[in-house]
Amino acid sequence: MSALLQVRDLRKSYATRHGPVRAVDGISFDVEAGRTVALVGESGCGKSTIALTLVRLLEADGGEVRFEDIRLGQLSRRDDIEVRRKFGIVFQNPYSSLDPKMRVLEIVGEPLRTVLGMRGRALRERVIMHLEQVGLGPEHVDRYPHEFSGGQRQRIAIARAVALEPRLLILDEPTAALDVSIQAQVLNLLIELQRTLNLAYLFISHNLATVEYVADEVMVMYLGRIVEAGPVEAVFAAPRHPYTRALIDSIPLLDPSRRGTLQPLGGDVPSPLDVPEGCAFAPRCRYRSERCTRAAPALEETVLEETGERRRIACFHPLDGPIDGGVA
Amino acid sequence: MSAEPILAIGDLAVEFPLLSGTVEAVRGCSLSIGKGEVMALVGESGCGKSMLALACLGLVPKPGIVRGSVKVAGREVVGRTDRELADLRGGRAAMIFQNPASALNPFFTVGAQLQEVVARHRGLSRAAARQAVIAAFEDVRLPDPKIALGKYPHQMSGGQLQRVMIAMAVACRPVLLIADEPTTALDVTIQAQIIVLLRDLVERTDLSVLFITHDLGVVAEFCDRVAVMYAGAIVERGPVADFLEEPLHPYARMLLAAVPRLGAGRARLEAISGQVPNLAHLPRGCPFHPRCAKTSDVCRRDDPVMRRAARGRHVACHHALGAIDGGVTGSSEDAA
Repeated sequence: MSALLQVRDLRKSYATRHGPVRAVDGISFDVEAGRTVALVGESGCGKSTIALTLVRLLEADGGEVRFEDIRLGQLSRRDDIEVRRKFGIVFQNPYSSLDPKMRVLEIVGEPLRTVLGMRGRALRERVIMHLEQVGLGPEHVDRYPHEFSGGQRQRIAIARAVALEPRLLILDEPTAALDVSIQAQVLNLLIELQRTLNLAYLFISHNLATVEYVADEVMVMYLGRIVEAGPVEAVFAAPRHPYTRALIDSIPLLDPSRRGTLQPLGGDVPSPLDVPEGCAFAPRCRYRSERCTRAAPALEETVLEETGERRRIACFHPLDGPIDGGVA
Repeated sequence: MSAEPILAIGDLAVEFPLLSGTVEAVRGCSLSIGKGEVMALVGESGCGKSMLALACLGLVPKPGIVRGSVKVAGREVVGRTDRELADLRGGRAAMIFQNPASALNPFFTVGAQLQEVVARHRGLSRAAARQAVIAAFEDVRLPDPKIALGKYPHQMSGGQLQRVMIAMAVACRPVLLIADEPTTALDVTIQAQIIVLLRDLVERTDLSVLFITHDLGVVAEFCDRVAVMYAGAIVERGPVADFLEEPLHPYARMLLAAVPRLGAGRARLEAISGQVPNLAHLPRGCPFHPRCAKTSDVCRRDDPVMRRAARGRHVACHHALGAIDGGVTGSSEDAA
């Protein structure tokens, strides 16, 4: 059986005064039903563009997106709505993603009203049911967004996203704007909802530790391309791409005995207007050879001998072996 | 650590009178930072940590009321006028912020903005100020310092701008640096660069740092001691290693348990239930009691005072674990 979401060779460029920016440059991946695939990378690597393209807030320039084996973008309006109600999106900032002039009843009820035509008491009861699903009491239904804290607002955004009983949620940095105590609440809620509703998640984040907490698989992006992808624990324990390794080495650990072991990567992410020829990571990579500056390595799937795990890597000089002593 | 602290905060309070009640943004905070020491101030949004930092430079906005004492290198800040504080701000004490792009003027080159500060505080000529700025840029490892002088803020990346801010902060050779979430807006690879840079500056110049953050990993990596704030008050302070090994205050414990750690896999995170209290309507007794698992009658009745624990640690909790020797610390910080 094919995967719930199949993305093939997705491309999106932005036209700018200084020339085109290839924000998403040929991305392919699958998300299976009930599973979580994470997309990680630094600002400007194209992760949010992928999210916006999938929900068609942006039109892709090329590539193909299939959901339940139906190709999106070529459907009649009615079929399009039928398919799109099966996936929702939750944005990073619950302070700007909720309309301040709408009550919770309208925010969560809007998709139910417009797509299913629900009204009146049935709508109200259904909204209250969804609020309970995300841990909010019925007393909140007539309140406005400003009456809620950041964590509660994100719960409201999640209630709206699950209202049409989707099979997939796109979560674009859902906890990046929240404090850690609230972040843990929201992550635990997402894990619980996934279990009870059999949801699949595309989880976009720059925080590797939260990714490890919620995801089954991870894809690491750099300047519009996937550089490494595989099972999350295996990738973080034994990264093969030097960029993945550099990301892990940049995270300060909660262990004062490992103090002073931070190994910062030199330089900045290059301007997307002026992506280096060859491997985009080569200028910052300490393993680069002459070959890396000439040609860009393709993302190739290999089966790792030790574990039989399938890993996709785009590097001419992949690393070998686990990180010394683990990353605990 | 020298005998006299570089920063000494004693029983500091900041209040904002509102129609709906008084917002107690900072409540009776005491801490001190010695020469060359890095003190972390951690807590969640709205706990008062940024207001405490602003009070250190006499920058609490109107109509805020400040009580208590803040001494920078022995000189009192509370109650002084802007004119009296002009030499302190950007001179002996410098501050860097979360978002360097909004702390710099977009209409002037970064070189011009730094030269103005250096000329003002060090009384240098134009040419000498220019040389000092180039030296400061070299100090923070900004590539091509002479070219960087002529750049406008929008022509630099976030990491480069934070280096410019740090260069501006250290160019006047301060004794105290207050850093308010300086790496929060940066990507993790750039954050690592900035931490390494700050550590190098502290080691070379014996700078004292008040480092405000909510990232406990950065605390572990960079800071010597830590103060944890909750609802306007410091609830625990002490050496970072002890704190990470065994936090004393239940809030600090829960905060540490809520942080996802790389390598921990799917071990369940313990979320803290409930919300941070409204600073205009604090609950009676200990402000953390509605969210605390150890709450008893005394917690609902009395706000706990800071007590001394073993190994230079302090905690404000009626039920704190660990070896508390019962001493109540006064308003001014003792041997901590």
